[in-house]
Amino acid sequence: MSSSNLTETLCIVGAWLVTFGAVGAYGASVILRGRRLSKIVPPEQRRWM
Amino acid sequence: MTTTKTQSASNLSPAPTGTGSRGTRVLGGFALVFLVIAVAYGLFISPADAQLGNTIRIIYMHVPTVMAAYMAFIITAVSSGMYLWKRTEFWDLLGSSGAEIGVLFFAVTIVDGALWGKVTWGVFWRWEPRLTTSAVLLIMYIGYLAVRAIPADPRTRATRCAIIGIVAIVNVPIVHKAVDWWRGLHQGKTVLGTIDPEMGGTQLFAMYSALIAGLLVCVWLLIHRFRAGFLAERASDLGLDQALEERRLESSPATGEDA
Amino acid sequence: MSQGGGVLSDALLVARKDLLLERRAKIGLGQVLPFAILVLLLFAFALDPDRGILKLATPGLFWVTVLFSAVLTLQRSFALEAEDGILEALRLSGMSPAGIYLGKVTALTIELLLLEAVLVLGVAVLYDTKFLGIPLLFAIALLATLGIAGAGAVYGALAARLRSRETLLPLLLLPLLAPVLIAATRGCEVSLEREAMSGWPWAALLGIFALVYLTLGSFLFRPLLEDA
Repeated sequence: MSSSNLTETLCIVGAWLVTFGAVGAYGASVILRGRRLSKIVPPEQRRWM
Repeated sequence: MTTTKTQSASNLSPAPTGTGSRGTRVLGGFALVFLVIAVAYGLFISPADAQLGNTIRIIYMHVPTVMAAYMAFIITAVSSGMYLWKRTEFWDLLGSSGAEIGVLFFAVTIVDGALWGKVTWGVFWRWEPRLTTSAVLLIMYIGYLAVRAIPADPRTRATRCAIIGIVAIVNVPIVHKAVDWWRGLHQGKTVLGTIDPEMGGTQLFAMYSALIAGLLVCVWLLIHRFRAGFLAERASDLGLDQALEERRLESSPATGEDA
Repeated sequence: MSQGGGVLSDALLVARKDLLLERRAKIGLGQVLPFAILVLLLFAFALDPDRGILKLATPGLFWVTVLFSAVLTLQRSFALEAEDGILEALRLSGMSPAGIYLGKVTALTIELLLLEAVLVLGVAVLYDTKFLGIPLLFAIALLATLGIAGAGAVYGALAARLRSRETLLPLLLLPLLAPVLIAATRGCEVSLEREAMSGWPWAALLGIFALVYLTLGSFLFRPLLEDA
C-alpha cells in the first residue's frame, strides 16, 4: 500500500469516525443529562409543554 | 412535544424518566435503519467515483452534516422570530437547541471537509468557498452559545439569544456571496463542485440514505435536547425555590414571628 | 408614540448628544486613534516593508485596523450608557427605539469616518500608497462604515450589559462583519488597480449589507431596549 493510499484510507475512515463519534457522544450526553435531571424534577413538571 | 394534547393530570400516562418517548424511539429506529444502509452502501457497496475516486465516501458524510447544520440554524432563526412575537419558553428552548446542534454539525462538517482536502489537495485547508463560509458561520453561532451560557433572568437571556439568532441567519447569504466572489478570482477544485451530476445508482442511493439519516438524527437530537433544556429550566426553578425556602428558614427562627 | 418625523428628530437628538459627549471626553481622539495608528506600525514591524508585502496588503491591513478600532469605539459608546442607564432613560422618555438606534448609528458612522480619514493619511505616509479611483474609494468607505455601525450598534447595545462584554463583543461582531472586510478590501484593491475587474459589485454588496442591518436594527432595538 503506497503512502497516498494510506492517507486516503485514514482520511475516509477518520471522517466517518469523527462524524459518528461527535454526534454519538453529543447524543449520549444529552440523554444522560435528561435522565439525571428527571430524577430532580417532580413528575408533574416532567411534561414537555 | 408529543404530550401536548392534554393538560389534566388524571388521564396521563406515568411521567417519563428521561427525554425519550415512543415518538423519539420510532424516529431513532428509522434513523438507525438509514444509518446502517448509509454505512453499508457508503463505505462498502458503492464503487469509487470516476472523478473523485474514494474521496466521494467523505462527501457522503460532508453533505448530510452540512444540511443538518443548516436545518438546525433555520429552526433557530424561525424560533428566534417566533420568540420575539409570542414570548413563550417553547420557542426560546427550540431556538437554543437548534443553535447547539447546528454548531455540532457544522464543526463536524468542517473537519470532514478538511480531511477531504488532505486527500484531494494534499493540505487540510485551502480557502475553498464552502469551507470558509462554514468556518465564519461556526464562529458566529459559537458567539450565540457564549451569550446563551451567561446566567441571566430567562426573559432577558431569551431576548438576547433571539436577537442574535435573527441577526446571524441574515448574514448567511451575505457571507456566502462575499466568499464566492472573493474566491471566484482564483477558483480551484471545490468540495461540492466536482460531484458528477449524473452520479450512478448505488452512489446516489448511498448519498440519499446518508442525507435522510443525517436529517433524522438531527430532528431526533433536537427533540431530546429540547426536553433536556426544558427539564434543566424546571430544575433551576426548583433550585431557586429551594434556595428561597432555605433563606426563609434561616432567617425565620431568629425572629420567630413573621410567619 | 411619535412616528415618521419623530424617528428622524429622535435620531438627530441622540446623534448630537453622542457627538457632543465624544467631543468633551475625546476618547476617540486621545485613545482609539493612537491605537489605530499603533496597529499600522505593528503591521509594518510584522511584515517587512522592504519586501513589498506591506504594500500589497495595504487595503486589507487598513480595514482590519478599522474593524478593531470600531470594536473599541462601540465598547466605549455603549459602556457609558449601560453604566448610567441612559438608554433606558431615553426609552422611558418616549423616544422611539428606531430613532435611538439610528442616532447611535449616525454618531458612530461619523466618528468612524473621521478615524478612517486620519488612517488614510497614515497609510499614505507610512505605507507609501498612491490613491486611484477616488469615487469608488469614497463609496466603499461610506457604505462599509454604515454597515459596521449598523451591525455594531445592535451587538454593542446587546453586549453592553453583559459582564464579559470586552471579550463577547468582538466574538459576536467580527464574524458578522467578515463579508464587510472581504468586500471593502477587494473593492479598495480594485480602485488601487491591484485587480483588474469592476469594483462596483463590491460596493453594491456593502450597500446591501448596510441596508439589511440598518432595517433589522431599527426593528430589533425595541425588544433589545425593553428586555435584553
